[in-house]
Amino acid sequence: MIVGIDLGTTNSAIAVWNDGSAELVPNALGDLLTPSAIGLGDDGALLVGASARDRQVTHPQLTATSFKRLMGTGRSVQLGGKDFKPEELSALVLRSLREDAERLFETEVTGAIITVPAYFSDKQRKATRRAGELAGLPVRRLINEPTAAALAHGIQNLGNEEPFLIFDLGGGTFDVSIVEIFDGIIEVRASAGDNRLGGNDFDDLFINRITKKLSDKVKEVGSSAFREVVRAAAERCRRQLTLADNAPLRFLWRDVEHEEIVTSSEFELLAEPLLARLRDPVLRSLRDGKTAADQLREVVLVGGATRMPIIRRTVTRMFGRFPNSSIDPDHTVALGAAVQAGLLAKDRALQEVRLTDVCPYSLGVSTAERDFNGRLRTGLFTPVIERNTVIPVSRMESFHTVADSQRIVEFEIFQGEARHVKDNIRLGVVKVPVPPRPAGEVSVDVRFSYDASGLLEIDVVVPETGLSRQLVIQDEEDVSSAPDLERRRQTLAALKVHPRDDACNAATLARAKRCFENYLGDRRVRIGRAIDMFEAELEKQNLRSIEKERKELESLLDQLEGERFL
Amino acid sequence: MKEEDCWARLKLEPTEDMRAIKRAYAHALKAIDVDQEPTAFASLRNAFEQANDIATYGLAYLSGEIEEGDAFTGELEIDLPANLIDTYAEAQTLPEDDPRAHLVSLLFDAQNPDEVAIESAVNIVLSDPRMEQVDFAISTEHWLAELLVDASPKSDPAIVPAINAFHWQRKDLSWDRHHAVARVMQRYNDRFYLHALTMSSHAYHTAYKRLSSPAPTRWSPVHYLGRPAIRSLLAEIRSEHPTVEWHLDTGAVSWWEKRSAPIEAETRDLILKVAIKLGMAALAVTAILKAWPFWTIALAIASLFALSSLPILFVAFTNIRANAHKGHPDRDERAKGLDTGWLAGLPILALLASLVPLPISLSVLIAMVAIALAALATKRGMVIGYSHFDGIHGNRAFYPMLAALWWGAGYFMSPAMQWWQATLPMIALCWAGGFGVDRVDTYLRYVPFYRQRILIAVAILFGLAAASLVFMMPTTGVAAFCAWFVGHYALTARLPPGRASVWSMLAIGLFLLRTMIGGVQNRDPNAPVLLFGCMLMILAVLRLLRRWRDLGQYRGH
Repeated sequence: MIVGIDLGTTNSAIAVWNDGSAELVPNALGDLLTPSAIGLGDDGALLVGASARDRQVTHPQLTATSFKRLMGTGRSVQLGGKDFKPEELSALVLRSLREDAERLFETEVTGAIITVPAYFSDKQRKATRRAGELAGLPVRRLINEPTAAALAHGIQNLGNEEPFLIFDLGGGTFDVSIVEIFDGIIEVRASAGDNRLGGNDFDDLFINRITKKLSDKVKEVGSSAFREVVRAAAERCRRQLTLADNAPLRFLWRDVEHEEIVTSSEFELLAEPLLARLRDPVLRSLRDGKTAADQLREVVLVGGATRMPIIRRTVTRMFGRFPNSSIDPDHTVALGAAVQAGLLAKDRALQEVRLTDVCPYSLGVSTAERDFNGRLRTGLFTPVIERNTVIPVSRMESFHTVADSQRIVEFEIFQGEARHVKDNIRLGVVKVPVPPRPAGEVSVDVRFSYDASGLLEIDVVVPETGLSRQLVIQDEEDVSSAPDLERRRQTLAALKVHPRDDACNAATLARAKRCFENYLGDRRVRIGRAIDMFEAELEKQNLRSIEKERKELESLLDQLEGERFL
Repeated sequence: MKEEDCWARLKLEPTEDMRAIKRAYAHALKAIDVDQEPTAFASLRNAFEQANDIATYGLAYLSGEIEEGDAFTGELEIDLPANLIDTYAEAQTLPEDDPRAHLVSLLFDAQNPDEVAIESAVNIVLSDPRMEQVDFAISTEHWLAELLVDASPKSDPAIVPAINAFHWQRKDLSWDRHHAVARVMQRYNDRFYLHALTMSSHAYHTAYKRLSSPAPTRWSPVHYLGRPAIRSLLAEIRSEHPTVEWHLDTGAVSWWEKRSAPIEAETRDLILKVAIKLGMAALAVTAILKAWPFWTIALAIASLFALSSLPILFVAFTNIRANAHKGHPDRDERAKGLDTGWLAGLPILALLASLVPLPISLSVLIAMVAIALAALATKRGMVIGYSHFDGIHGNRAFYPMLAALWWGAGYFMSPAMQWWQATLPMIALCWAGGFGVDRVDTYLRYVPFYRQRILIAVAILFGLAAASLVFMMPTTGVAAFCAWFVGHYALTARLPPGRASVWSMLAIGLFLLRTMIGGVQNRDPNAPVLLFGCMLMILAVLRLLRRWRDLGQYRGH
């Protein structure tokens, strides 16, 4: 069975193509979304999901979230004294999701489609692939998140002809894609995005504001513990603003309660710079797709953050129409990944459907040119594959030497849109020796081949001598070979993880303890008492009474802070 | 892909029906497995895109039914997609109260529009509530960019607000800008360059002043020296900062252009041939008269005219090969390779002549053969001062020429001192200096602008160190020369050609002065010479400091 996985910054989900449709798989807690959080429990076992996320406030040093933002950076996270790479943390999440699917369908998962933001760089994609391998999950393909959303949406609208726009604002990334569907072909026309814009950044607005306000009253405003407490409160406030015009921003720090009411319009004012950043990728993708906004059939909102009314208002104003969110924005990407899994498995229901995607960034080399006075200007970017070219693609360009008696021609490979290579991302370098000739007389052909899974191969040929060089863009991490990866996978597999059956109890306990820290007075006493009773039941190990007690504790918490959200 | 092939691949008759093309593409795509057959997919995709282009731009034109020139008779009807039509034309018919119309009238109708009024008008346009809609924003962006270009330079005050609103300066999105946006950014950068030109320490400041004020009423020798700088400035403006030319006085530009055109290739060849012949004649005469000191001076002067023949004597082989045809102004000439193998003999001969203490007559003979070979090389079209690095090759002649001068001048020193004791290190230094200067300068041209400050500082320090070291040596003439060498390098590095030549000649004059003082009065000529050297050094350091300061301020390029 091949599954589709949405590995998000805040939440992850897993879905399968079953019986002619895509279906999400619930986790051990019965939720369709699993928070992308890893925590170290009191007993030294690893917690994955909601239970870890709730411990973020109470044990910030023992919990890791939003590690998707660290993928491909080479940085690692410290959890209770041990170093974890972000792909290892992602691997733990993937493993947990895989278990959920195998439990539900009682078949082995043989491969996965994992989604990545369209604007993820080459390094970041390779890190995601490694995460899959570390989880023991063969990654059949990586697909772009807006493309997956287009699949999920398009499958239900195969008859329509005009292009539509996917507006995907997730926890940490923002992607825009313009998609066209005709005769069962789902064709992505253009993609753009911002890798550092997501729901988390809206929370940061609150954190910065509170930090500034309380910088003289509270000593530890800079500490991560304070930030996490405020972040949890900010997220709750933000979600409540979705349903009401104002919401309290309430948190407890060192037994002092801080509360203020935030109105919808205040939030909009605060969020203005972030909302302005939403425009650039939209404008770019419309220009690249040669589409005008009034030619779009609809604008589809994807990603939990699009539930915010300010986002909806902004989108409405940008396009002059109300956006479409017929599919739950949190589920779209995972469902789309499942559709792609079905396509790969050549499922009969998808026989008349095909998907083509584009490369969202330009790939090229560093070149030099002589200006009129004979000065040499180096470091200019010449693209070989322009952005938004349909993939797989293979393009060739010819270059020539720039100095007399030049012995070596060096091609530095870059990815990006800037005119100067120092503003682009460097991927690698190929050198080829050339016969000594006056400048400009030796030409060298460079061929770039970019396939659907994002693998870039470069072929350099000197026609005069017939000499050629190849380069396959590989991450430095990948160079540490297969046995090393296998060893790391085994180490990861051997880590102690909190048992799945106990997940509900762990989650409720984590949530209760968080609430305990967040309330004062007799509310705190009530929670404390309920926790004690629950823990006593856990000792007794009578399953039915444990479950009853757990439900009571949950309803108490719901009364106090509202429903548990994801 | 050939047009017939694209229709064949799609299995379709040539058509303008986009729908049919898409259907054919979909049908063909479903028949292949994209992952297994990437080349098949590539050809299908090419065919699809080409068919799309044909359908968009009109079948008739591309199939040859309409020939070139028919488009102007208005028979060709192109139905472009809405967003490809130039929205500027549409905007010409804006309603009166639209803020965009107000901006247009300010820029085109008013005689001397107030800068503040323009800036506030453009701000009103940019803060229009309709700009929230992406379609309006995109078309306004294009419209505004084209308006700014058309109304340049009156639209200058509006450039910065537009750049800020649309983020045109974003470096990470710049390789394929819209052409109007690129031109607005060009104008923005050109204004920085213009400002830099007005600063007195800029290399081309005098040239700029000459070009922006009315043409001189009559020609004077001073203008002769300014010509190369003006030539270079005009070349740089025309290639890099075209809009700066609007600020120059057109009368002055044409006056100077007429007078600073480089000498025609034939004339230049003729002059050089004559000079070399004269030089050889002078050499022969002085050799016959056995007036060796004058012989060396004649050699030096001859080499000044045949600017590169002496460098060919003293500079390494690869350099010759590399520069052999690079400098010719005609591109085709440059492309023709030149067989330069036999020139390897020249530096070897020169080396022998200068370093090995041969009998005078033999060394004279060798030197004359070398000069003859050089003349022959010149005749065959070797670089004679045309190169890209205009001033520098001229200056490279200076150092070896100095060596020859010194050689002759050695005769004026007191007989107690072996003349070659002073000469040998001098010649080696000159040779290394000439070669080194060129190498360093070539390197400097590859180095980014911002790193040059470091290199200039290193040059100063190195020079000071070398000078102080050599001060210790008994022959203080060498010390003087070192000071001169460093000063000269610092002054000539990156200077426009005319000015470099001025300094070269000044240094030559000083050397001649030195030899004459030493010879005529027979007292130690080193003191005044040392004084001159120090003066040059101080000037060099001052100049470098000024350049350092300017590098910090000037960021426009």
